[in-house]
Amino acid sequence: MLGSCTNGDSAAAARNMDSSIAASEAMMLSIRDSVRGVSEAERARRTRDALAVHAPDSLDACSIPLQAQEVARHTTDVFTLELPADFTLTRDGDVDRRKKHYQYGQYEFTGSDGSKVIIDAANNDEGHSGWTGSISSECDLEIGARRVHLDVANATISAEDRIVHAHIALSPRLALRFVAHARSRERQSELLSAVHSLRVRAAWGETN
Amino acid sequence: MKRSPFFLGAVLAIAVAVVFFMIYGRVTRPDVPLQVSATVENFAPGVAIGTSVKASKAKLGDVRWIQHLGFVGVLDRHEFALIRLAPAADARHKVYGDDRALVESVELVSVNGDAISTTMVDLGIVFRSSPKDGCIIPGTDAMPYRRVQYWTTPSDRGGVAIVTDWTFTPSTSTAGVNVWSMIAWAGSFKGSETLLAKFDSRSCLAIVGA
Repeated sequence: MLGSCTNGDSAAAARNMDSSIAASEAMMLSIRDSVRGVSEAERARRTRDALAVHAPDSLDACSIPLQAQEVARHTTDVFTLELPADFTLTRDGDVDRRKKHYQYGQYEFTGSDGSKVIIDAANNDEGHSGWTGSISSECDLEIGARRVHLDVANATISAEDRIVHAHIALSPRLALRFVAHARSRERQSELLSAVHSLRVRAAWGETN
Repeated sequence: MKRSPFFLGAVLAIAVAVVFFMIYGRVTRPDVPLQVSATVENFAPGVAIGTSVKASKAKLGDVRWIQHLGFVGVLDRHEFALIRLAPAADARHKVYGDDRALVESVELVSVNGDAISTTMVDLGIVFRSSPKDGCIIPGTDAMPYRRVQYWTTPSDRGGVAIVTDWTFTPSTSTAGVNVWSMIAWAGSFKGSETLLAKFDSRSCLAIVGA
């Protein structure tokens, strides 16, 4: 079942305010810790706690959660993306047959906990294609000057498979599809944040 | 009694002049009240509310972007060690900082407890009034309740707050450490939104006691 479409402006504003308050307190604690000489491990624990505070069970697709503590930028022929540092490229677009037709293929990144990010092509009218699940929140926004439809969903109830889905309009004929399967709520939050770092290189989608 | 045309003309001219200067004053009035801009300039020379972050951060060291918070940099001053430049909310929540955004508020953080009293006196002189009292409710156990003493301009066009610890927690238990901050903003005071903290208009004394 697809969930109802919720704009969530006020909810997003409240969540953003919570994030600002949490970030402000984290900064003040960091200063106090630096004066008192608190260990890195204790600081990391506090950061995790802070993330949990403002990453409630059901994420708001319109929100921009905190980035992972360490991120790595991945640059392919067609896009750049910043993912948590433990994600590695496990499938390169070159091996996919669609590469010949559309001049791009499927890219897959896998994290240390088995979470995955898959990026490939989609037709513009298939905004919710390529995965199944119960959408808890949707949002229309712009990322990198491109129109994007974002969904946050749960794919199953038996295992942790939390979805972040983005449908990015490229040209009248093509769209880019970002599907993340996260194994935890915190990971889902990080990958929702990662979507906002996605930048499509100018030539993609214009040359077929 | 019949008044001369000269008298009526003079009255009319004075009325026009009064209206003109009232409008002129409103149009040319700076967005940031002098009490606020002068305070920021005094404690953080080169930093200004209402100008671009780029212009202000040129005077700071080691400036970093923290999403949801703003640009944080080092300030080499006796009173304050750290500074936060907060842009408006729409820019503040972006993953990457945009230094073309305008500074909406400034927070100066100090680890020098001796500087509180002199700063309070300075602000009392600048605003010519006693501060209002409020309290910040902590979001985590590690943070204390914090007292907010704040001044606003008579028409609430801006203000400055001094934030100090009220309760003691493990994070504040080390003798000699006294972290406090001064927040300056333009525009009306909006509590939590202005301070980026859970603000309660009651005093900490009323909320948690002595």
